[in-house]
This record gives sequence, C-alpha cells and structure tokens, in this order.
Amino acid sequence: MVPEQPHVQEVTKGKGAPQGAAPPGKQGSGAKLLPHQIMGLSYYMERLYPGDKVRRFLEIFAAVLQHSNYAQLVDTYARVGAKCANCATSCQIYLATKDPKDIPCYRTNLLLEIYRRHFTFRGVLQSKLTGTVYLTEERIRELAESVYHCTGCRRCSFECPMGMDHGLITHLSRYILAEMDITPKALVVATREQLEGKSGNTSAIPVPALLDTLEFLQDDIKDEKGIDVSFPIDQEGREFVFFPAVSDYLLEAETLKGIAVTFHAAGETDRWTIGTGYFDGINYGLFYSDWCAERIIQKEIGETMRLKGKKILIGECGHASRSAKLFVPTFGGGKDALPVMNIMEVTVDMLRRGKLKLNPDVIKERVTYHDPCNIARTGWIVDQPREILRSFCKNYVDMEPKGAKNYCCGGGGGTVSIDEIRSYRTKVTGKVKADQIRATGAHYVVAPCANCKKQLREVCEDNGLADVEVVGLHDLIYKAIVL
Amino acid sequence: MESFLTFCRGPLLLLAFSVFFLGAARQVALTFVELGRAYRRAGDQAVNLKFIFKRSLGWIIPVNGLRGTRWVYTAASVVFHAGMLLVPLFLAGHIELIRKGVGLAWPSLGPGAADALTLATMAALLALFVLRVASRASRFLSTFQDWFLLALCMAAFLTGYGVAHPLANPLPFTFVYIVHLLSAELLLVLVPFSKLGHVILFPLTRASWEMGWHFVPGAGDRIRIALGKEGEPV
Repeated sequence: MVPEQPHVQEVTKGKGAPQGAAPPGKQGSGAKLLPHQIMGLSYYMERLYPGDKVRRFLEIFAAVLQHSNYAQLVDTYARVGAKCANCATSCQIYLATKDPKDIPCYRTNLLLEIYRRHFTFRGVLQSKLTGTVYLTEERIRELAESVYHCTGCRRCSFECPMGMDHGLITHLSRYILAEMDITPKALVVATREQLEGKSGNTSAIPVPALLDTLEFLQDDIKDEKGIDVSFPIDQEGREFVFFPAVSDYLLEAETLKGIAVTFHAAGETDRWTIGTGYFDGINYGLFYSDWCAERIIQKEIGETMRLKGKKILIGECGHASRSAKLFVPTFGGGKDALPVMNIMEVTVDMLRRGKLKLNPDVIKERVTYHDPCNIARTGWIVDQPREILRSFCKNYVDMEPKGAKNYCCGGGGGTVSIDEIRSYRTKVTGKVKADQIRATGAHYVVAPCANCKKQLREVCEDNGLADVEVVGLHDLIYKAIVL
Repeated sequence: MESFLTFCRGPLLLLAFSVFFLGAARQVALTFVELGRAYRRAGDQAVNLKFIFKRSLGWIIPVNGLRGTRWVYTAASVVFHAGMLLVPLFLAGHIELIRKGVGLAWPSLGPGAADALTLATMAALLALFVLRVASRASRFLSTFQDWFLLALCMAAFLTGYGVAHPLANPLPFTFVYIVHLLSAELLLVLVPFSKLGHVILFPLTRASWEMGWHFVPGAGDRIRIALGKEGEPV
C-alpha cells in the first residue's frame, strides 16, 4: 500500500489547482478560502491505478452500466438536463464558494458528458469523425475533486424540475472512481479494517475493549444515577440487535448511557442486545462503493441472524440508519428482509406509551435540533426527535430551514473523516450551519448523528461559537430522565 | 417560393411529425424496457410510487416553486410551458391544417385567447432569456443548445403571430410563413434528440430516479470479476 508518488503528482498537477501552495490548517481565518486550494487529490489517494487511466475509467464505467441499475438512470438523465440552475439556489457549497463548478448540475454533467461522448451512438460517431477522445486524465481529476467537494446531502434534489438526483450521480461517480482506487484514504482505511481487519469494525475496537468500555459505562451510570443498568451482550432472541456508529463507544459515552438508561427506565432492557460478533453500524459504502456497502450490510444481517434478533436497531447515526434502511431490503431479501429501525423511533414510541418520565426542569438552556440529512431528507425522522425534545425542553427552538429541507452540517458524504480538509468543512461547507446555529442562540445543538456531531463541534470551534454544546438526543434524555 | 411553401406544409411537415412520433415512441419504449429490467434485477422490489407521483406533480403544480427564491423564473417557466403546449395544439389554423391532412379535429381556442396566450408565451420566453443571461449560475451552465432552443421557440412564436396577423407584419407573408413552418418542424424533430426529450420523458424521470436507488444484489462482485479484480482486498 505504498503511495505511488509519481502517479499522484501526475494527476494532481492540473490547471488552476495549486496543491501544496496552502497547507490545510494554516489558512488564516480572514483568508479567502477557495476549495481548490484546500483540497487536492493527494489527500485522497492511497495508490493509483498504474496503467492507462482513461481506458480503465471507461472499462469500469462500462462494467458498472452493464451489471447495475445505473444504466437506465444515466441514460434518462443524459437526455433531459435543462441547465436551469435551480439547484444552484439550494446548494450550500455553491452559495459559500460562488464557484460555478460547485453547481450540482455542473457536477452531474461531468459524468453525464462522459456517458454521452463514450456510450451513445452520437458520441461515438462524433469521436470517430473528429478523431478525438473526450475523456482525459484531466477530466478524471476534475470529476474526482468535484464529487468530493459535494457532501451528498441531496438538498438539491428538491430543486430539479427534471427530477435529477444529483446525490445519486455523485454516489455513482465516486463508485466508479473507487474501483480505480481514487477514494479518500480515511474512508478506505476504515472500511478495510471493517471488512478485512482483525477487529472487524471501522474504529478497530477489539471485543475485550468493547466489553471494558461497556463495564466502564455501567459503573458511570451507577455513580451518576445510583442504579444498576446493564448493556445486554450477546443475548439471543431479542427484538433488537443494536448497531451504533462504532466510534460512539470511544467518543459518545453520554449517548450510549442515555440509550441504556432509556431502555432501563421503560422496563424494556430485555428488548435489545449488543452483539460481540459485529457491532458497527458505519457503512462508508453508502459514500463510495456499492460493493463495500453490500458486504458491510451482510455483516449486520449476519450478526442479527446469529443472535436470532428480529430487527436491526441503529443508534444515533444518520448514514448508518439510511444505509441499513436502504440496503437491508436491497441485499437482504426484499420484503422478507429484517426490519430496520432508528433508536429515536423506539424512544418516541416509549414516550407515547407513557413509559418514560422526563423532568422538564433539568434542561433550562435553549435547545435546537439539527436534522442529519440521511434520516431527514426523505422525511423519515423529522418529527420524532422534536416530539421527544419538546416534551421536556422548555426552551426549544427550530432552525430555519429545517426537516427535509435542512442544511447539511457540512461534513456529509464521508468528508468529515478527512481531517486535512477541516478548514474547508468548517469555513466553506459548514458556514451556513454556523450562521443557523448562531441565529437560534441555542446552548445545546442536538445532532443525533456521529458524523454531524464531530463536524458541528469543529464548525462551532472554528466559527466563534465556543459556548455551544453539540450533543446527542439521548445525552439530554440521560440528564433529564426520572428513574 | 410558393412551391417551397407547399413543400414545407406538406411532405416536410409529415416528415417532421414522423420523426417526432417515431423518436418519442422509441424513447418511451426503451425507457420502459430499461425500467423493467432494473425492476426485475432489483434486490428490493418495493417501489415508492407515491414518491414518483408526488415529485412529478409537484413540478406540474408549482406551488413550492412560486413560493421559493426563484419565483419569477418559476412563473415565467409555467407560462412558457402552458403556451408551448396549448397554442400549437389548440390554434384554429393548426387544427384546420390537421383536419385537411388526416381528418381529425377538436375544439380550438378563440382568436382573442390564442393571441393573448401567444403574447404571454413570448413575454415568458423573453423573461427566461433575460434570467438565463442575468444569473451567473445559468450563464455558466448554458451550452449552445440552451441558447439555440430558446431562439428557435421565439422564432416559431414570433412568425406564428405574424402569420395570424398578416396586416401587422411588415415582412413578406410567404417568407414569414415558411420560417414559421421550418422553425416549428425543427423543434419537433429535435425533441427526441436534444434536451427537449423531457417533453416525452418528464413523467418517467422520477421513476428512473426511484429505480436508480434500487441496487442489484451481487452487482459489486460481478463488476469486480468483469474488471479482473476478483479476490482483491479493499
């Protein structure tokens, strides 16, 4: 896995892309931040396909069109794009950079034009007549940079009169690029550990360490709440097998304690279990590779079957929830597949059944809620968390816009994992979020998503919002629950 | 000149309609075949029809668009599309031409309504042009066909108005008539071969979107086998 420096150099030297000129993190806060200066392909690639890259790209595109369901999509989209620029009005990245290359339609068209010129009769004829090849390494480089500028939030999908889902084209572009090893290192390294590593999860947590953590959390709860609450481990026949973003076990103790205490308070601890065979909800396949997505989903399904669980329960994590909701039926047997639920659906159900008592006098500060794109964009989980929060937070305010049309935290689509582009994430893609948070004047920003939490903490830090506390939904429940 | 006009009104018009209908039929057929194939291969065959209809109707009934930041664009776009559909289909002169040709006829717009709609459509076209020039994003995205098709629609409507009002028209009648016929015929022919394809595919693009998210189990492995990457690590 030694990075092949010459090839990286070859691809990164492009027009108007002064990579290395401005190292990330050294940008002054007053400096005008152009994404092209912050990002460069060298951050992304671990190795690069050594042969003819143009030929390889087209081979991969052809194989993908043949074996997947993208062909009909690309073909339809290639015919209808009207270039109306409606999407530009909704894209927070374009609104921040004002660089027309960040318009969703432009990004989508990078791939569609390759399709038109290499996979349609007219395009092939044009090439033959003019004796030119449309696709070049420069165009591959532009596509690669472009699709990782996008956070895949799919907000623009509301704005296209032609019904183009730019997020899906970004996903497809990333998949094709991934097959020629152009993917952010952070995503590949984590996914490799999850699928082929010894620990089998993205944070490389061995089972003994997991058990230690859970024991530590139980002691913590005992100290803080004075009760014995257990995290059920490897219990067979439970309703839910629980998969949080595995990083929660390292970083989000409060969220996990909140979930355990919620089940305990409702007297329903026997409904859930954590499996030691596999306990990671993260699925970066949703961001860059269908092949990885399928294999990761099979691990979730496999562990749930091993424990004879009835449902897959995903913790506070946006992309983990969406990938399971989307891919478990896809790769796990259609209508016979295991049902997938998000933890907030379970908690709101307990609340409605009167099983939870939340003290309305505990959280006095102003609270606002950030909708993670992956669970809110389709309207799946928008009202449930608000119902929970309104039930015990007296000073709750909403951001605007919210729900299905929220703004992304700025670290979606896996970009939050790339530490080198922090200034891009917090000053460019996350800027509008910082403004939204500031406008609410809230102390607590509830973001029930591991990805959003990390990103929003950095956004607040870099945008002068030091007093804001970014928390999970169950963090607040943990504070306010009456036992 | 007169014989060329007869040619444009006769064989050329027939040719344009043939290309339009055959091209449209081909696109619809191919899209349905592709959608069907995608459906059969999909791992999850639950298709969200509600989503498809809701999102398609949302753009036909542009309530949200008119409330949004680009409401002028939406309004101009709605007027333009309404005129583009209604005027060619329900103009008395057009219906007469078709009745003579194939014997079919249907109720027509009154001359006042037709004129008003034509003028409104031209105003909307002008607005769309101005907005495309004025918006930095639109200007950057626009290619030759985006400008050309706007001009072509304008030409068809302007000359159409000239044909309907020969007294207000300073240019030779036959010339204007020929330009009207040629521009309209070119528009018809271009429908299957340009972004005007949305005339036919509009109701199907959301279905394509929905099926696009219905992945094929095992496709990832098959793609890697096809690429000779079988058994390679992540």
